[in-house]
Amino acid sequence: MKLHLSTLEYAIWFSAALLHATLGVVITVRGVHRRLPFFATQIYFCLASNIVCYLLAQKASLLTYAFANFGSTIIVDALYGCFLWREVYLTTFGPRMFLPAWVPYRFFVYTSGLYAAVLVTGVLLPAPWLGSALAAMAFLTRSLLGIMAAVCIVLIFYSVRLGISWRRDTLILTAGLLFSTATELAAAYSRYFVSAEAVPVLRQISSFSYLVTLALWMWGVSTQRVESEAATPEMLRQIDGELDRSAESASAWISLREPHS
Amino acid sequence: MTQDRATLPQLLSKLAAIQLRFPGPKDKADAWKPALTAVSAKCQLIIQFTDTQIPLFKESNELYSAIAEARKRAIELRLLCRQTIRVKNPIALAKRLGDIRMGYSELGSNLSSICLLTEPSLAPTVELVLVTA
Repeated sequence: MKLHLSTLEYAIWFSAALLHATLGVVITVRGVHRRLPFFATQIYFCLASNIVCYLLAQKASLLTYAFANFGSTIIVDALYGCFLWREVYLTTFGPRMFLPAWVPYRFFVYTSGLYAAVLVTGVLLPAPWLGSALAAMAFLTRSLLGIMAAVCIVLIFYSVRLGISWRRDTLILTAGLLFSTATELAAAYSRYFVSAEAVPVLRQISSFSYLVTLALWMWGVSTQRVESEAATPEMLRQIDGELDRSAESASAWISLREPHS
Repeated sequence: MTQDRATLPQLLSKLAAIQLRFPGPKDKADAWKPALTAVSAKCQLIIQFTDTQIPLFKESNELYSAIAEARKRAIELRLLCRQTIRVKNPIALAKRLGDIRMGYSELGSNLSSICLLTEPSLAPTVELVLVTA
C-alpha cells in the first residue's frame, strides 16, 4: 500500500521529522534530557515513529499502518502523561508537603470535571464513532487528547490562582502541549460538523499546529538558561537583592520588624 | 549545602517577617482592602521565593520542611486575603486565620519555622513571623 497524501501533507510529515530530529539534538546537547527524561524520550520516540510509520505507509497494509500509528500514539500519550506528572506537576506545584492539603484534591476534581466534559461531548456527537476498529481507535485517541488538554489547562490556570510560579522552559513546554492538544481536539470534534471536502483541511490545521508547537519547544529549550541544581552564592545574592527592592516598595500598611527569637 | 543552611533562613526571615495592624473599624471594608492587598502581595513574594527552592533540595531535611511549610502557609494566607477582599468581610478573615493557626506545627529545633499569630480582637493583628532559634 502507498498512503495517498497531498504534497502539503507530506511536507508537514517531513517537517515534523526534521523538527523532531533537531529538537532531539538540542535537548541532548543542552542536557535537558537529564532534567526532563520523559519529555526527551517522547521526542526521541516521535522521531523513530515518524520514520517507521513512513516506511509502513509505503509498504504495508492500511490496517498495519493504522495499528502502528495508533500504538505509537498511545506510547507518546503515556510519555506525555509521565511528563505532566513528574516533570511539570511535581516541579511546579511541588510535593504534597509544599501545598495546603486541599490543593491536590481540588486539582484532581478540576481535571476530572474537565475530562468528563470531553467524554460527555464525545459520546453526544452524532457520528457512529464506535462502528469500526479505526473509529474506536480515533475515539480513544481523542479521549487521551482530552485528558492531556484538561491537565494542561488545570495546571496553568490553577497555578495562576494559587500564585505558584513556573520555570520558564516548563511553562513553554506545557503551553505548547496545551496548544497542540486543544487544536487537535477541536479539529477532531469539527470533523463531525463539516463536509467531507473540508476534512483534509482540518487534518492539515491539526498537523500544522503540532509543527508550531515543535517550533515553540525548540525556542524554549534552546534559549533556556542552564540552571544550577544547587543554590550558589551568586543566586542567593540575587535573591537577596530582589528582596531588598521589594521591601523598599512595600506598602505603607506593612511594617517589617525583627524576627522573634 | 552547608552554605545554604546558613544563608537561606536569613533570606527567608527577611521575606517572611510581617507585622500588620488593620486600621479603622472592622466593618469598614475599604479600610481593610489596602492592608489585605499588601499582605497578599507579601505572601506572593514568599511563594515565589520558596518556588525557587523546590528544585534545589533533592533530599528531605529540616530546612526543606521549613521552606515547604512557609510556602504552604503563604498560599493559604494569600487566598484567604483575596477571598476576604472579594466578600468584603474581614471578620471571616480573623476566624479563618484562627484555623490556619491551628494547623501550625513546630518544625526543626535549630532551624527555621513559621508561625502565624492572630489576635482577632477589636484591632486584629496579623503576624507572619519566621522564628530562627
